[in-house]
Amino acid sequence: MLSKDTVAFLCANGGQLLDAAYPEVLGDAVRVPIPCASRLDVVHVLRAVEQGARRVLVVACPAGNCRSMVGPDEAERRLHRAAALLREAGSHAQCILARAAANAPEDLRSTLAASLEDAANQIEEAPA
Amino acid sequence: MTAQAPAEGMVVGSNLERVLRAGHFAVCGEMGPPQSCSAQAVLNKVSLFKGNVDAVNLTDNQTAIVRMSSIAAAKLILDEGLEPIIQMTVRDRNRIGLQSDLLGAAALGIRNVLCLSGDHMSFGNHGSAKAVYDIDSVQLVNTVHRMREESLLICGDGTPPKPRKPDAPWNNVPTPLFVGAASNPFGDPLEFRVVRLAKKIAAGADFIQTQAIYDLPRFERFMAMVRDRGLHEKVFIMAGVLPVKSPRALTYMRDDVPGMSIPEELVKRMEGAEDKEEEGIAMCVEIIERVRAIEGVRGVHIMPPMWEKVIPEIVSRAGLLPRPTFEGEPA
Amino acid sequence: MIVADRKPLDEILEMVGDANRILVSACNTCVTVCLAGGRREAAILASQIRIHAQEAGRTVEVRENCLERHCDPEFLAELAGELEWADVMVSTACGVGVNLASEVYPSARIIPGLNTSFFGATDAPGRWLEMCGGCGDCVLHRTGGICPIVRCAKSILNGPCGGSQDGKCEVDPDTPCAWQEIIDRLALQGRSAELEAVEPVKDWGTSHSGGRRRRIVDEVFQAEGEGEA
Repeated sequence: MLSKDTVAFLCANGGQLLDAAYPEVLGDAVRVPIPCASRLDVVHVLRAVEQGARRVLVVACPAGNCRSMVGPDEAERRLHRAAALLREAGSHAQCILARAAANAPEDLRSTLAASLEDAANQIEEAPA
Repeated sequence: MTAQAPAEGMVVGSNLERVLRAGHFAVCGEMGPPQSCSAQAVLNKVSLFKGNVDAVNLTDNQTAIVRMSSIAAAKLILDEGLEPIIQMTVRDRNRIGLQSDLLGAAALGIRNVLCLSGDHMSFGNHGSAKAVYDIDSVQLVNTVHRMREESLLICGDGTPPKPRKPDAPWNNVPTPLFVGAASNPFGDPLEFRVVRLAKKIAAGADFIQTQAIYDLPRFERFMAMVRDRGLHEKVFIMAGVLPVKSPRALTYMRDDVPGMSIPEELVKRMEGAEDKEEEGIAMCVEIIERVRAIEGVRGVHIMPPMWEKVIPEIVSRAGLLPRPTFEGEPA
Repeated sequence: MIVADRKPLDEILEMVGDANRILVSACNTCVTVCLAGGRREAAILASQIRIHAQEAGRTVEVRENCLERHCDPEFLAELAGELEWADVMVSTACGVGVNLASEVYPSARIIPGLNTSFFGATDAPGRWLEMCGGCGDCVLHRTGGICPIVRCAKSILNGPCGGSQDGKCEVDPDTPCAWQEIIDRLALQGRSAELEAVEPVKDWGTSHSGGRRRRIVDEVFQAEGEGEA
């Protein structure tokens, strides 16, 4: 279950609609609406972590579903860059990109489950 | 001044110049100075070259790896009666350093210099070195030529025999160096390689040593273009050959040395050979025979990297012995 | 424009040391265009510094601003108040900006956030290429507009060297050989014959070799008694 230390950036055409229909998927995560995943800025991610987020989630549309064509790809590149900048600053905050249509909460659930498991593994593997 | 006046028709009278002007097919070798101050390492190789070649190139920090100065190594072999050709690159010295070293080399009795750009420092063991490249290799050719023919430095000052005194007239002393340049018939673009050769001749080159030749058809095309412009009559062209003892050496040059052309059949031939050293020698001798038959090729420059001991056998089997000697010249 | 790269965070943090009040000052000119030190990159750096401090359990105050230009004293005047406050200023302007800000505020600790690299142009979004060496004695009219001083690894004026193959430089197979480009460009213009002439040695006295350079426009410049010697 997601708590307030997750910040979720939600696209107006996908993530926000999905969340409205299936609010339990994102649990207590802090929602940040954005018009399209392509509008995600690296600075937004860093600011979220600065303000206490341990996990940053971007809910983008599946490939081919984006109303602005390239939104999810742009978001992915920026999220990668943000993750690299966070690591450089010594932060272990997790960056997750989920591609899920408004009517496909299962896609979002499974991405989240896999990512949370990954994060758990990373923590176990990390030296004390 | 240590130099005696060159014989008639000669510009400096070095052994290499005499051999070439007498119309003999010249033979040069190549020696890489050691990566240490060991004079013995230089002297140990002298006997391999003596009597087998007319002059020996001393490389100038080849592949941008720090080695004993080519001028110092040249002096060591000169004292043993072996004629040096110092290689001089424009990578490490500006025009002040280059001209100073040219004066010094000539003062030590060195009479031949090969002017080069030099391998970029990123290939060597000091990749973070600051590049100099104050002048380029064509300009260095012209610098040496002018120091010899006009006794003038780049700045226009003369080279007087004594420290300058006000009101005292003097005759500037020429710097007696036979000037060489390199040419790569395998670099691109081919047509422009001939133009660049012409530029080096216009700048004052007396002799040319080429990149190692394996691709004979391309070299023949190059030489045909050279003859079309009459360049072979204006400069002594010596063909570079590089004997190898493994197919890996060939594929390394093909894949990793810029500006090389290695035909696939030679790689296959080396791979198929039982005695690779013997095959390498035979291949080199064949290439020498082939280039010798090309009009305008006036000599051969044999450069066996770390395999100098093969020189006597190659020159012997290629029928290049005995080497000519001249009166008043140490044998 | 001047093209720069941001320094690695570790290097910047080491220069910042234990300063608690940090000003990150961006420049809205060249380094904004090359995405190295504009407003947005300064925001990223400031955020990284704050996150790093949090992870280390330290408290720092980081402020950001962006000047129109760091290479003009009148714009730098805006920094006066912030520099009163700050222990250290990280400049994400080019080296010109760091020099000038340090001259205008000699007692302030001003450190470079960027490595200033070259004079270049945008080649494609996200890629900049070096175009000019600022040698002070332009030869571009003779080389078809291709600078041999910086685009040739050996600054050859009578190129190409023997390492040019398949149009590429021996130093880096991803870099075109500038001399191949020059030959092709002059051929396109029907000017190949010009390449037959030996280009004489260059006067580097107009370049950095001559020390700090200066340019004066007489009808504008008014010496204020004590101008630089």
